[in-house]
Amino acid sequence: MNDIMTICKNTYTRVLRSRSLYVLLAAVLILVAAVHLYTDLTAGRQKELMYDAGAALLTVVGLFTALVVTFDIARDLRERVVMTLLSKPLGRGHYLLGKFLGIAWLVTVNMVILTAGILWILHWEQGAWRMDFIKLACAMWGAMIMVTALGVMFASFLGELPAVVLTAAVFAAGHATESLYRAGTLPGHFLFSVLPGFWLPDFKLEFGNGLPISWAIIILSVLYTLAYSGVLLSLAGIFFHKRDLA
Amino acid sequence: MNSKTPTSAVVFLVITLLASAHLANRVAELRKDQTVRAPQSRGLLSAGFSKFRSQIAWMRLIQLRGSMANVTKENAALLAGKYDRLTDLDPMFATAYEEGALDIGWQDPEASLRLLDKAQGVSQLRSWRIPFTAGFIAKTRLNNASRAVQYMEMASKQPDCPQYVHRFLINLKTALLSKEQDPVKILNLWVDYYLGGVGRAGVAGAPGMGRAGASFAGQAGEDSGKKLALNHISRLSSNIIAQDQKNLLTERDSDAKKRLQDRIEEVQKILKQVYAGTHICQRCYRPYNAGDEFCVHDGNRVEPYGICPKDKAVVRGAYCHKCGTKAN
Repeated sequence: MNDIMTICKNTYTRVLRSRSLYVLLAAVLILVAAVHLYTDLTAGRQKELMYDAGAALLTVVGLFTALVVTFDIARDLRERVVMTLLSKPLGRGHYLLGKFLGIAWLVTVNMVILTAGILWILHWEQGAWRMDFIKLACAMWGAMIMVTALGVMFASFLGELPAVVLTAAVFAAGHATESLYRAGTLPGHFLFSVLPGFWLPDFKLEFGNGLPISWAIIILSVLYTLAYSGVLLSLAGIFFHKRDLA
Repeated sequence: MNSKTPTSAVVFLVITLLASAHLANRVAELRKDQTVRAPQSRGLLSAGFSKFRSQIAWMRLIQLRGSMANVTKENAALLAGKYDRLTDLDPMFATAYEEGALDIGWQDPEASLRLLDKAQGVSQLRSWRIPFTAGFIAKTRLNNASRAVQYMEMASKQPDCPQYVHRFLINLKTALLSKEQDPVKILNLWVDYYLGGVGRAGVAGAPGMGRAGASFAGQAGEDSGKKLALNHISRLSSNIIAQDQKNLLTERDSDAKKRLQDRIEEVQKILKQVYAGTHICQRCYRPYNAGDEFCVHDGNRVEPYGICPKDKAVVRGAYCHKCGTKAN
């Protein structure tokens, strides 16, 4: 457990040293606040746009942060840091889990900072606290944890570029598995159950339109993302175990 | 299984896969009721950015619309397509439905009604404006009163719809009923509106109905809609009774006479219920004020009321303001 936490901490601090991260967070907050000026362009819908832009940019930042894991694992493999680490009494699964937890922690910190910032900007624009944004961010956090696990899985057997492209592609395609569920056929239902369903924790359309979504559904969707992250990490462990690192 | 495959990972994989499959189905089941889906959604692959994309599409549409001097037959089709795609991205974009329908309604009313029909298929979108706009377009652009009535009925069922929607609906129904030559049906529409949705059973003699009518009569000055309804009720009743009384003089068939007599009685009963506790002129069936000796609407002599028996002053309260006599 200590080994996992050490890798987690190292991964987190190494990525945190990157200045581009802070620039990204600041840029997002400035972009969301700038929507205040879009009164004429949106024909008076700048409040709605600000909420939607906040939710969309929160997703983008979460996605970018989660994708860091693919670069990080690939770099460890390229620079042969993995060989050094694995020469010690450390399992390959422990290494992957440490990487996953490090980036997942970074995703959490980034999303908390952004959620707080966007909440404050929304309050400044609308004069009321949009507490539903917290629900939205919670569900989105779950989705980003799932993306991190997806990134770990692809990075366990692919190079960094294909891993990033595939992670992003599966994230996009994962929003379309709803049609499998709605098809009502047995094969469709089976595929829906085993494929990553990124539409399940996605409530941007509902919250953006002011629909009340209960905490129960948010919690269940987050639990789903955590369970599916477990599936992806197990697969990552199996693939990485079989990988020839020499 | 390969000997190199870790057993613990496989066990964990099976457990988490089963758990995630169960949770996926549970969440999907819950999302069925709580989330938004367009009835004719094209299943766009928006990667979760459909709401944000709809806002971008809205801004682009505003720019495009601003670049057009007029909406013509040609660009109406282009605009209809853009509004359709925009509402695919966000099926709850009420402004896009309303603005879009009004934008293209003049050149392509059918396309604008298709857009509004699509909006009405979204169960979470409960706006009276959408069916109202559809009814307005069906009446003014297609001159289809029966279709307009269907839309207006949907609009009038929304809890936040304003009174003028109900009046618009009555006017549309009146236009349809006028072909049937049955003015009592039209009168009943206004009576129902005036009594705030009380059915005809109420008019037939339920004790609560009279109170409802009396209370509205007291607020008539404040509520122009109710005042308008009273005017319609009085005018229609007056016309029906005058016409039937005239026909009674010339009618020879006893059954027809009976029907006319019944209809006069029915209308008088309605008037009694609507104007319960109010003094009305017996010719134009409109209320008159305390102290009036002639109806201000048609000059007919009326029975004065609210006059102090001692000094003949109009009593404005519980006691006469001139002599202090208690009013009856």
